[in-house]
Amino acid sequence: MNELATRLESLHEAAFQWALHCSAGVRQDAEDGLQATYEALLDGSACFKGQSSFKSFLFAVIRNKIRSQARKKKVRRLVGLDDVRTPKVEAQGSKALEDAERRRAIRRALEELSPKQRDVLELVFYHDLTIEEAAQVMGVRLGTARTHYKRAKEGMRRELMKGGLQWKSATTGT
Amino acid sequence: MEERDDRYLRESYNQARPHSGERAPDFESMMERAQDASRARRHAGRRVWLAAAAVLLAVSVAVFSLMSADTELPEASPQAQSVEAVTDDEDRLAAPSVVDDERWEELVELADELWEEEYPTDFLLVSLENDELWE
Repeated sequence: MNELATRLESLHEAAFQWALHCSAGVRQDAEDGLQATYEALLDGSACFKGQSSFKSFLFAVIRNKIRSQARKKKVRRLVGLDDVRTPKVEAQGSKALEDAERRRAIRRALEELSPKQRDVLELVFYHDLTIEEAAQVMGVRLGTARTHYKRAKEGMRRELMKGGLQWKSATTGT
Repeated sequence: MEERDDRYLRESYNQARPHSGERAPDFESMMERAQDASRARRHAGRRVWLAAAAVLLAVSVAVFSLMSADTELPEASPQAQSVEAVTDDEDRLAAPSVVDDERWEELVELADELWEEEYPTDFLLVSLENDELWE
């Protein structure tokens, strides 16, 4: 019990970020999903059997809980990313403006991706999971996850190249 | 080259990912709520099991009572009881309650006569001694 609590506490922030991603940025849904996950882990209805890393197991439970909550509420899982609450950028100077513009361009690129592609990017890029672990979390085969990952990167690259400057500056190392 | 592309994409994503400004709620309070909810669910589950066991017990008792009622023999009627009383006691030839005494005596006499006519005593004795007749 204490060991479980310690593990959960160490992953709490990441778990909440993943919950937030799964609930399309709706904070209340993310909190409810995370709460339901902790309850399931405490009462043993979700039990870690060591078949994967604890983090990927936890993320899979969170994803399932939020999906089942969304089904109950009959709400579509993902809304447009424009609807998502994002931190305000206090633009100060050209660097800040450039950063804000860059973020908007990346957001636009992400909007073009499918939900699964966004999931795999979130898991691999932000949560540092391997593609195999991401596949476990998403409940898909490894090959499928690889395809989503590859297409997500291609899609993101393509959309960023449309924007021009950001991608060029990255590839030229400036 | 691909590695550098990946690194750039990763950095870009992490800088621009949605909801990055949101912070998680307090872990301790979430765990407390989860423990309370888990405990409440366990108690509710126990109550459901108890209620189910009570219903099962009540149904079992009802079924058993019905089955017992079906298999119980009906109580013998007063007439049947009188006949049984007479036949149980061979020495007693009192009239059953359904026949008055006078009529009963006539019937007994008539039976004796018929018996003697049909089965004379000698024949009966011979018959009893002769095993073959009984085989």
